[in-house]
Amino acid sequence: MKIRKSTQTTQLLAEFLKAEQEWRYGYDISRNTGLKSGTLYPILMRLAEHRLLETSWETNEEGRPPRHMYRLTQDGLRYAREQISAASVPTLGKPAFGGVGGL
Amino acid sequence: MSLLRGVAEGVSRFVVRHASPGSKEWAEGLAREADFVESDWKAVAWSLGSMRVLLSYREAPLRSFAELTKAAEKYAEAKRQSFGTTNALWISNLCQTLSWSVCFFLARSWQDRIGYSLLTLGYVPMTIYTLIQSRKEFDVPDRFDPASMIQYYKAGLERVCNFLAPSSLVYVYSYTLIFAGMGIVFRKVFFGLPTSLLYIGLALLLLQKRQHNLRRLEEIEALLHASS
Repeated sequence: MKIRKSTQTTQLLAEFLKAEQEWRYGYDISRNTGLKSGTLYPILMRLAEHRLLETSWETNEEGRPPRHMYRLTQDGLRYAREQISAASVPTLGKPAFGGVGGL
Repeated sequence: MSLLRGVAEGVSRFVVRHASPGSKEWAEGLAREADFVESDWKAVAWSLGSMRVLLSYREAPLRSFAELTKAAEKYAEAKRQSFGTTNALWISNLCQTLSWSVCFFLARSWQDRIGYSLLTLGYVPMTIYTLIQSRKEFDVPDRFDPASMIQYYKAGLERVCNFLAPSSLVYVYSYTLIFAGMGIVFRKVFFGLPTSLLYIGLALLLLQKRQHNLRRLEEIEALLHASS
């Protein structure tokens, strides 16, 4: 699956995992994650293109414009869990400059 | 309504109006959300951020098998229609090859000779390729066979997306030589920098087109998978 693995994407997926089955609004996600609209929506669009995210228009309340809502699909939830667990595993690389100690 | 709100709404409306077919829904979603932003300044920032969706062109998504069939039919029809042009194209390429080779023999400076030889070498494979393409008329599947048309559409997109496909290699090779040749031949007129910029622009356009095609291929695969 060709989705750019950025910290913002991981942050967004983690936000969706907080309430897996709930529909979420763009602005609420932006407030919770701190992602600006210009960063958030391209990621949402990419996720939707890969069928990891489903979208829906909220039923119109009296006098209020309908809102666009987002929720991870089953594939999306699986992908999000994989990504979050991969991101939380500490990378075991070589310490920079050979590490400290051994003096 | 405050002036800032007005600006935010104006920007959002602009984005919705100019968003590409595939981004329209997202632009509308962004515009709606701007109404829920409490602060006026933040609403302006939100709507300015929404301009990001204008940066990439997205075709209307294929949501059903019927839409896929329609898109495949359109593609096949466009291919059928293009055969007349392909014939004109290979003849035009042949004429260019011949005229640039004549120029090569008539050229006085060694720089011009290099330029004309690059142009000739660039047009030769283009002529052969377009000639072969013009003979492929009968490859387009029948109008009443949607399954074959979808496969034809998919194969066409895959071929274009593959940078190592013979067609891509011919285009890259030919256009590199042609633009380099033009840059040398018309160096005294106006061509040097604009030609390089044009080539870079073309390369960027091709990359963007490839991105669209890859997206479309993923949609097709998902629909075929869902229907099987």
